[in-house]
Amino acid sequence: MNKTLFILLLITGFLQAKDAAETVSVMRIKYDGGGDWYGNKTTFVNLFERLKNITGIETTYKEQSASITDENFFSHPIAYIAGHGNIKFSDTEAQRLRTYLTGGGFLFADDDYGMDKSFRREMKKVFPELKFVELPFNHEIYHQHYDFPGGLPKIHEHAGGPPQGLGLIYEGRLVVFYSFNTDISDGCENEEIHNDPPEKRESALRMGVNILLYALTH
Amino acid sequence: MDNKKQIIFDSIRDYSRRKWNLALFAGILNSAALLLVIWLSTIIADSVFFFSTPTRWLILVLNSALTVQVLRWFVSEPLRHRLKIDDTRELLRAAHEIGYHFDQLSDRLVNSFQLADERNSGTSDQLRELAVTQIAENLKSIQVTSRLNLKKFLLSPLLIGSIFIGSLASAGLMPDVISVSMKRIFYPPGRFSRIPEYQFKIMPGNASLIQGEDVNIWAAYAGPAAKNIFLKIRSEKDSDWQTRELKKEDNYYRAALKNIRRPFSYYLQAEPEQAAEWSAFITSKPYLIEVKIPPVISELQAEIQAPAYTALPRQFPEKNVGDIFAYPGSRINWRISSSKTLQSARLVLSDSSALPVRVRENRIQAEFIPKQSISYFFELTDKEGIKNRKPIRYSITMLQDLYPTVEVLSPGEDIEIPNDVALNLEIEANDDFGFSVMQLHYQIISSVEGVGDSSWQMVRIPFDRKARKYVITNYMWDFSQLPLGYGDMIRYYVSVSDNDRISGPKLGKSPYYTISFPSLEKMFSEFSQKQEEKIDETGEITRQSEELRKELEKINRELKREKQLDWQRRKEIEAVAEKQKQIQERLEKIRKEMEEAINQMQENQMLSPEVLEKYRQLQEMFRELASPELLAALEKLQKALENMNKQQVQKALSQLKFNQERFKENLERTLELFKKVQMEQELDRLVKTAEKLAAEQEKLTEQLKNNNLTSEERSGLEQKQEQQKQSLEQLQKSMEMLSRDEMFASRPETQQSLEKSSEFIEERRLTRRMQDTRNQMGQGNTSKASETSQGVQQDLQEMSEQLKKARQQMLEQEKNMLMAKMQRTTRNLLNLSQGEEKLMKLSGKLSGFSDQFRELANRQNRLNENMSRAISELIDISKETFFISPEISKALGTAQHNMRKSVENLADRNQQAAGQNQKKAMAALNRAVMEMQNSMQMMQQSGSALGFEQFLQRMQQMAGQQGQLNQESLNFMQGKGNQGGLTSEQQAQLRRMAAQQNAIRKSLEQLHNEAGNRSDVLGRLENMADEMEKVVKDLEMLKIDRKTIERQQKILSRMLDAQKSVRERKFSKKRKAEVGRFYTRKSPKENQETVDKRKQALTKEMLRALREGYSPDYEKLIERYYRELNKKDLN
Repeated sequence: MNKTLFILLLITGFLQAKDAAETVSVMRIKYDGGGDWYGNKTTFVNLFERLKNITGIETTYKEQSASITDENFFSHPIAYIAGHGNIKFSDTEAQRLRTYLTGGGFLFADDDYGMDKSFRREMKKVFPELKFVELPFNHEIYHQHYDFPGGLPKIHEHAGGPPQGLGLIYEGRLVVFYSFNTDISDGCENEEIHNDPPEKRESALRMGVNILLYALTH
Repeated sequence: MDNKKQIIFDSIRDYSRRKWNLALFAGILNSAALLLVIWLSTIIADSVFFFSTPTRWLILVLNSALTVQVLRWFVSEPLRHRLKIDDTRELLRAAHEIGYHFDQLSDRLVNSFQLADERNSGTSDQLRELAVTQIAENLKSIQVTSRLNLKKFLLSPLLIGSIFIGSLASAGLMPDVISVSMKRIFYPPGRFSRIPEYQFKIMPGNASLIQGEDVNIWAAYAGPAAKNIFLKIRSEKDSDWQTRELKKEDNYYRAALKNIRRPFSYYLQAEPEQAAEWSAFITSKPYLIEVKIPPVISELQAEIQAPAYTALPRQFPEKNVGDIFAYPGSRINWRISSSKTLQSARLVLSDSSALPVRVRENRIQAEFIPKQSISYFFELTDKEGIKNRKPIRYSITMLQDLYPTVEVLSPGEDIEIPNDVALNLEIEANDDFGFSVMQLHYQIISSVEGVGDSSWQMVRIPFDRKARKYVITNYMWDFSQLPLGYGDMIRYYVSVSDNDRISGPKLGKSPYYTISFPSLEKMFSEFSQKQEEKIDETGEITRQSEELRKELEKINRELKREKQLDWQRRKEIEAVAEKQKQIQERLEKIRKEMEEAINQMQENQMLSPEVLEKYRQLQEMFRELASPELLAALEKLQKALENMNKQQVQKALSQLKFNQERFKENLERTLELFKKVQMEQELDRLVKTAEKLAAEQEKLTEQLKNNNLTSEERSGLEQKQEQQKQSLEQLQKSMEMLSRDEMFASRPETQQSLEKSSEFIEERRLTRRMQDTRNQMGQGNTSKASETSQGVQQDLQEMSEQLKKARQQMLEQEKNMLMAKMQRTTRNLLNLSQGEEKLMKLSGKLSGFSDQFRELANRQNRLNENMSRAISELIDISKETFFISPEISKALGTAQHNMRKSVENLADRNQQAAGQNQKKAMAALNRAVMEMQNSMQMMQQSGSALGFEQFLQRMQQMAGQQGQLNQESLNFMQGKGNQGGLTSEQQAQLRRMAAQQNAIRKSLEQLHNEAGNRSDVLGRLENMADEMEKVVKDLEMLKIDRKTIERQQKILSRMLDAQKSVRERKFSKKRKAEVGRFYTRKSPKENQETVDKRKQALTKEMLRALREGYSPDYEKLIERYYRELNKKDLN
C-alpha cells in the first residue's frame, strides 16, 4: 500500500513538476551529522547548462535542496549527496530513502574527500542487504552519451590511486552511483574555483552528463 | 439273492465287454497293419515300376477287396460280438471262458449262471441260492478281466510294430515318392509324369545362429537342368513362403541372408528349364534355422567423480548416454542392466586392453580412472556363451584443466621509484579449479659497469586460501633489504601454480615489468635542468613583456596625436593584445610543467616541505599573473576595437597599460623568487643527497655485521658500496660547482660552508675509505669492512649535519636580512604616516588666502618622493619573500594616489579636499604598516607547517568552548522545564550565554579571514558563523528551545568535522583540489556470481558442441574457441 502511495506521489510529483515547468532538476540531500552538504554551489548550474546544450532537455537553473523527510523530497527523480564530513540518517530518513530508491529514484553520491566512511555506514541502514560493487568499465553509465573506456575519470587526487565508480544494485537496477576518490562535483564547478586544467573540467562535465542521462533513462 | 445274481451277471458282462473291446482294438490294429502292407507295397512297387493305368485299376480293385475282407475278418466280427454282450449266449460263452481261465470256478460259474437265470425252473431255490452265493463269493476275490491281454488278440505284436515303424520310415524317407505313388494308385485315371531323379546338397542345412548374424545358404544340385534354384523361406510366425532366387557361383548356388532376427524354415526348389508336370516336385526337404538371442545392454548409467582438487560434485550424465567428458584422474562408475542373465562381462578399451567387471545376474558394475581420451565398449557373455553382437562404442573425452592466469593490476606498468620506499603490488589470479602457490620472481639489473645482472630470486606471496579460484591480493614489496643502488633496475613477474595433482601443477605467469630506481643525482639534475629552463624562459617572457609595455606606450602616444582610429592602428593594437595573451599562455604552460616536475619530485620525497611550499606559492604566483583585471582590460580593449571608437580604445589602452605594468612587475617578482627558490632547492638537494648517503651507508654497515653472508649477497653489497662512492664523488662535484655559482656570490657564508664540506670529504678521505670497504668485502673480510663502513657512515652523518646547518644558517640569514629591511621600510612608512598627519594638521589651519599653500605642497611632494622610495624598497623586498601580501601594495598604491591628489589640491588652494586626501593617505599608510607587521610576524613563525598547528589549536579551543556552552544550554532548558516566565537570574544567564556565543562567532570569523583561500575549510566556517548568529539572536531574545539546542549541536559537530578534515589532510595546498593524476588499471570484474554463471553456460555449450560428433580436429577447434571465449570473458 505504502509503495503504491509512494509511486502515485512520485508520479503526481513528476506530473506537477511537468505541468508547472516541464523541467528536470536534482534534489540535493540536506543531512545531519555535521558534514557540509551545501558545497559545490556551481556544480549543477554548469551541469544543467551542458545537459541542456547537448540534449535540449529543459532543466532548472540549479538544483533544489531538501531533507529526506521533507514533503517535496520525492519530487525529482535524481537525488544528490556530497560533502567532506560526517553523514547521518535517522531511521525514518533511511526508510524514506529506501522507498525513494526502490520506487524508481536514483542517488548520485560524490565524495568530496572525507564522507566515504560515514556514507557507506549510513547506506547500510538504507540497504542492509546490499554491498557496494565496483562497476566494470563497460557499464552503460560510462558510455551513456560520452565514452569513458577507462571508467570513472580522475579529477582530483584526494587519497591518490585510481578512482572508483561504485554502485548499489537493487533487483538488477543500479539505484545508487557513488563516485569515490575523484570529485566529479568539484570538476564541474566554475573554472576559477579550483583552477583545474580544462581537460579535467571537461571530463568531469561529461561524466556528470552521463550520470544524469543514465539516471533519467533507467 | 438278487445281489449275488447281479454280481455274477456283472462279472460275466465285464469280461465279455473287455474281451470284445480288446478283440476289436486288436482287429483294427491287425487290419491296419495288413492294409498298410498291402497298400504300401503296391505304392512302393508303383514308384519303382511306374504301373500303367490298367494295372493301377486292377491294383485298386484288388486292394479294395482285400481291405474290405480284412476289415470283415478283423473288425466286424468283434464289433458284432461287442454289440451283443448282453445276449445270453454271449454271456454263457463268456462264463465258459471265465471258468476255463479260473480253475476255482471252472463250470460252476456256468452252472450258477444258468441256475441264476430264473427261466430255468427245474432247480430248487435253495440249491440255486447256495450255488449263486458261493459263486458270488468266489467272484468277489477274482478279477475276471485279468486274463484278458491285447497281445493275444494281435496277430504278432512284433510284426505289427515293425509294419508300423517301417511304414513311418518309408513315409519319412520318401515322402515325395510315396505321396506321388499314392496319388497314382488311388486315382488310376490320372496322368502322372515320372519325377526324374534329382538331388540337393544343402549347407548349412539345419543350423543355429545368433540373432543378427548373417547366414549363407549353399546348395549343390544334381537333377534335371534347372533354370533357377529358389530358396523358399518361412518364419515361424508367417504362413506364406517367401521366395528368393539363389545366385549361381561356379557349380554352387548361394543365397546370403543378413541380420537374421527370427527362426525360419527353408527349402530349395529347382525350376526346370523345360516345364513339366513334375516341375513343382523338384524340391529339397525343409530345413530349420534356429536363432539365439544374444545379451544386450538395456540400461546404462554412468557416474563421474572428478579429482578431489577440482571440488566438482558428482556428475550423472543422462541415462543410457555412455559418452563421457571428464577431467584426467576422474573416477568413472557404470551401473548396467542386461537383457539376459550373464555369465561374465568385460570393459574393453580402444587400446585393446580389457578390464573385468562385477557381474550379478543381469547387472554389471564397472569402474575406471582414465588418464587420456579413449573409447570403450562393454562385452557381455550370457549363460550359453553367447556374446553381445556389435556393442555400442562410447567415448571418454578428457577435458582440459586450464592454465591459471595472473596479472599485476598495480602498478601494472614499468615505473620509477626511490629505492627506500615500499611498493604495493596488487595482484589478481584466476584459475578454473584453484591455485596452490603464488610467487614473485625478480632479478636485479645493475647500473654499475662490469657488474652483471643478478640471478632470478623468488619470494612466496601469501594469499587468502579460501578464495580458491579467484583472488586479488596485495603484496608490500620492501626494497630496503635488497642490494639496490641508484640507477639499478628490477625486472619482475608474478607466477601462480594451479592445484592440479593429477597431471602436475600448471604455471601461469604475468607479463614482465620493470622498476627503475633512478639515482638521486639524476633526478635532482633533471629537475634542476628543467627549472633552469623554466627560469630562462620566464626571463625571456619578462623581456618580451617589457618590450610589449614599450610598444603599448608608443601606441598610446601616437593615438593621442591621431584624430581617429584607422584599420592599421587597430591591427597593431590587436597584435599587442594577442602577444599579451600568448605571454599568458606560455606562463600557464610553464606553471603546468613546473607542477608536473614538482609532483614527481614530491612523489619521490625529494623536496623538503619548506621548498615544496615555496614552489607551491610560486605556482600560485604564476597563476595569479593572469589577474582578472588584466583579462578584463584585454576584453575591454577587444570590444573597443570592434567598435572602432578611439576614445574607448584609448581608455582601454591606458587601463591595459596600467595592468600590464602591474603584470610585468609581478612577473619580475615571480622570476626573482623563482631564482631564489631554485637556489634554496639546490642547497636542499645537497642536504638530501648527503642524508641519503649517510642512511644508505648505515644500512650497509648493518648488513655487513651479518657473518653469514653468501657470496652473492656480498657481491650485492660491494655493488652498493661502489654506487655510494660514485654518488659521493658526484656530491662533491655538485658542492664545488654550487659554491662557485653566482647565485651564492651574495652569500659568502654559504659559499664557505659548501667549500668546507667539499674539503671535509677530502680530509676524511671518504672516497678512499669507501673503496677500502669495498675491497675488504671482496676479500671476504666483512667484519673489517663493517668497521670501516661505520667510520664512513659517521663522517657522512657529520657532513650531512654540516650541510643542514649551512642551509639553516643561510635561511636564517636571509630571514634576518629581510626582517631588517622590512622593519626599515615599516619605520619609513610610519614616518611617512606621521609626516602626513602633521601636514594634515597644518593644512587644516590654513585659510583660503594663505601663502603657506605652496610650502605645504612642496612638503607633500617630498613626502611623495619618500613614498615612492618606500614603494621601491617594498618591491625589492617582495622579490625576496612571499610574505609581502597584495594588500600592502594596494594600501601603498592608495596612499600614493591620495598623496598626489593632495599635492594638486594644495596647488589649487583646496584646503578641504587636501585635508581629506591627506587623511585617506594616512589611513592607507597605517593599513600598510599593520599588514607589514603581520607579514613580519608570519615570516617569523614560518618553518612550522604554515600555521597548521596553530589553526588546529584554535579550532580545538573554540570547539571546547562551544561544547561547554552547549552543555549549559541543555542544562538550562532541562532545568527550565515547563516553567512559564524566566526569572531575572535566568535572563541574565541567557544574555551571558549569548555573549559567549558571539565571542566564539567572532573568533571563528577571524580564523576564517586568516584561512584566506583555503576553500576546503571556508565552506564549513562560513556556515557555522551563520548558525552561530541565529543562536545569538535566540539567546538575546531570551528564547531557548529544542531548535536552539539542535543548532548548537550542529555547530559543534561541524567544528569537530572541520578540525578532523584539516588534521587528516594536513591543511596543505594539496588538500585544496590537487589535480588528479592519471592511473591505468584494468576494469573491475563483473560480479563473480554473474561471471560464474556465464562460465558455466559456456562450458555447457562447449560440452554440447563436443557431443555433436564432429571430427577430432574440429572438436579441438571448438574446445579452443570456448576456452578463448572464457578467458576473454574473465578478462
